[in-house]
Amino acid sequence: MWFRGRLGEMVGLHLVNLLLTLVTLGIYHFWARTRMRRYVWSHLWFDGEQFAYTGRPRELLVGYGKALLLLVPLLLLFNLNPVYVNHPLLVALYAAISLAVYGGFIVFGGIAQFGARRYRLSRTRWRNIRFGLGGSALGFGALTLGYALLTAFSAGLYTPFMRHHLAAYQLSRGWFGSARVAYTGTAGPLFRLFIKVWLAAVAFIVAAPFAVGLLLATLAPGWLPVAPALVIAAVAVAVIVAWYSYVAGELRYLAAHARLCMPVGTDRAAGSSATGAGSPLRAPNDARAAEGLRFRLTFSGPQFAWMAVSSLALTFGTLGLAFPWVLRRKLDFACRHLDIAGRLDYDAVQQQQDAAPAFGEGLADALDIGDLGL
Amino acid sequence: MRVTADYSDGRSAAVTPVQVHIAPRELTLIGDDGATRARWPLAEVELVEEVYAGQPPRLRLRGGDAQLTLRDGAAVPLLRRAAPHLRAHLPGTRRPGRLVLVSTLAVAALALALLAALRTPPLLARLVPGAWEQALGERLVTAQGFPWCDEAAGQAVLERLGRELAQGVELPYALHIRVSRTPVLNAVTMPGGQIVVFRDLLDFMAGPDELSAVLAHETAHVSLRHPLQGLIRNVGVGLVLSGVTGAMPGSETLGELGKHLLLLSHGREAELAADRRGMEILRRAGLRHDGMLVFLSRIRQRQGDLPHALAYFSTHPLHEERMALLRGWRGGGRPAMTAQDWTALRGICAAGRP
Repeated sequence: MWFRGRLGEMVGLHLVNLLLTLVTLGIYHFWARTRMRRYVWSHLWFDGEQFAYTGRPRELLVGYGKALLLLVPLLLLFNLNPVYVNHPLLVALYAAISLAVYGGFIVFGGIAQFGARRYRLSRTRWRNIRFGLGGSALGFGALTLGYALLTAFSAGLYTPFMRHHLAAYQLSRGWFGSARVAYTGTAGPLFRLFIKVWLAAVAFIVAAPFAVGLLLATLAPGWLPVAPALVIAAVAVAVIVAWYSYVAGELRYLAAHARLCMPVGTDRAAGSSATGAGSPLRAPNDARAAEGLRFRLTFSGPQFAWMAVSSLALTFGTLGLAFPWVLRRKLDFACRHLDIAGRLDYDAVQQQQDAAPAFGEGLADALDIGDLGL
Repeated sequence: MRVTADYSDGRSAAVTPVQVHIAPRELTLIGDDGATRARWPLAEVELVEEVYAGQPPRLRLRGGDAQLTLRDGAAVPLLRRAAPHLRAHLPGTRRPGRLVLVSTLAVAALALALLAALRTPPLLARLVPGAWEQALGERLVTAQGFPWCDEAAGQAVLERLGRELAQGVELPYALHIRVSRTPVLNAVTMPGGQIVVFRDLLDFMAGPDELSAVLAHETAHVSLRHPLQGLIRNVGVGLVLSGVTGAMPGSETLGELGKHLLLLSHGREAELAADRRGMEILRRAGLRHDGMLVFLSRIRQRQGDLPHALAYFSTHPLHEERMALLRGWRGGGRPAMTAQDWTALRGICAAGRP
């Protein structure tokens, strides 16, 4: 995987996008987004071929409009001013509505994330073959709410399960033409990693005051008054590194247990698949299914943490102007640390004629959810 | 002229090498065996994406699934000559001057839009019917949920003073003056003639002439329809700036900051205008006009115990120009009310006070 984009071109494109968005009072936003995606996709190369983005701005615009139709009544409900409400029954009703709306937002968040990925994949081609995501956005939204409740009730202990199950749901429903993603991971190892990282962080937080105090007392007693600040800083850094180390480990695990391969029983001549488009491939025991592309992510926790934190700092420090630079750094980072091995019989991969979503990611756009800010 | 290319029929991921003959009206795709595989009318050919330097142009037929990747560097100039409709998106065509032109136009358009958002509210406010503005003002005041001071005797004095000030000024609607129990050293005027004096301001005042001056100033805001203009300006400037910030992730703060700065500079002009009109209102009502100067001087001395005084100055910027204007207006007139009335007014918050 290789990103060949040039920073100069990206900055130029971003500036023109910015200015045109400004002049059109924001309407150009959808065209801007599409142009940047076309640039990024077409400069991503794998195995001697570029990716392509085939989405159209109008699809994003219509999707956004539809999302607003759905969200505006919800937002109005959410912003109901309790000042107008004074009857106890009404207050109870208001509380119930608020809770329902809050749950609704979690479901919508899930639907939005899933729908946006599905749209982007359906508009992504490589070797002129479409990608896709099966399953149901509504189902994914409901799962998100269910897992979020479990996570809340378990005081956060369910977090690795939630994250794994949601990722697995999407991964196992991904496809590239008639090739399917086979995912064989389970949440157990991630839970153990989560506990390990969590214990290490707690141990560090407990030990930090003693360590800092001891070091300062022996080496620089004059600095003792700033010890609390140093401890807080050390703990903050530790918590950030711990979290991103976990996320990095999780991503490495997910990648290592996913393969892109032809499903069992594919008849090459007929080009039809035994499993329907989007149905998960759970037991790739067949010899043919064992072929395919394997993935490996090679970044370490601290490397990933540094990438994430420095990107955030760059974005906020420049009030968003460094967006093209941040984007290129992230893409370079991802490409540098992604190893793809194995073999896929390209001649056997057939275009899927499934109905792709007609409109794009309106909800995600309205809720400001996106991958890489694209 | 022939170039080599990669052809994909869009049915499988297989990519086959072909020779492409680029003629003025048509692309002819010729396979390895020398047989013609397809003919693409150039008028129906489109680019998959705009082509940047070093990237191979990728073509498809409108509405079709097949794709042609022109890997040969010689293809771009040939394509430019044969297919003028693709030229704008091929490398070597984009002129660097265009970026400068677009930028200049965009900046000019932004400046114009901002100017319009800042300057047109007085005109736009005139188009809003008074009844609408009144309804809006009432809703805004209700939404704030202010706790009111409503001792009857004090309220009567307040209303009488309001009627005196309203004499001789053209007001689009009746004044609605109230005192709020909220402990803030300030007074605000909302659309529809809604004037709210906060308790700490009333407590701070040394005499009725200070109050009448402040109320005359707020009445001037009403007669100039400043609150509605401010509202329209706020929405307009916000709209223009959201165009900028919407395109940059994480820049909402910048937009908010810019908005405050723009509106602040405008606030100074409005305050000066309200001072002038306020003095006029006092003169017509036959009341003393030195109250404002006394009040501002006293509040200025109290700047020592900021941030209490800050609340007032944050919305009523004080500067030398304003003081000079007020000094010039010294002069006669009768006191705003009797000592008894003043005592009654000061007690307006007595009921319900803990």
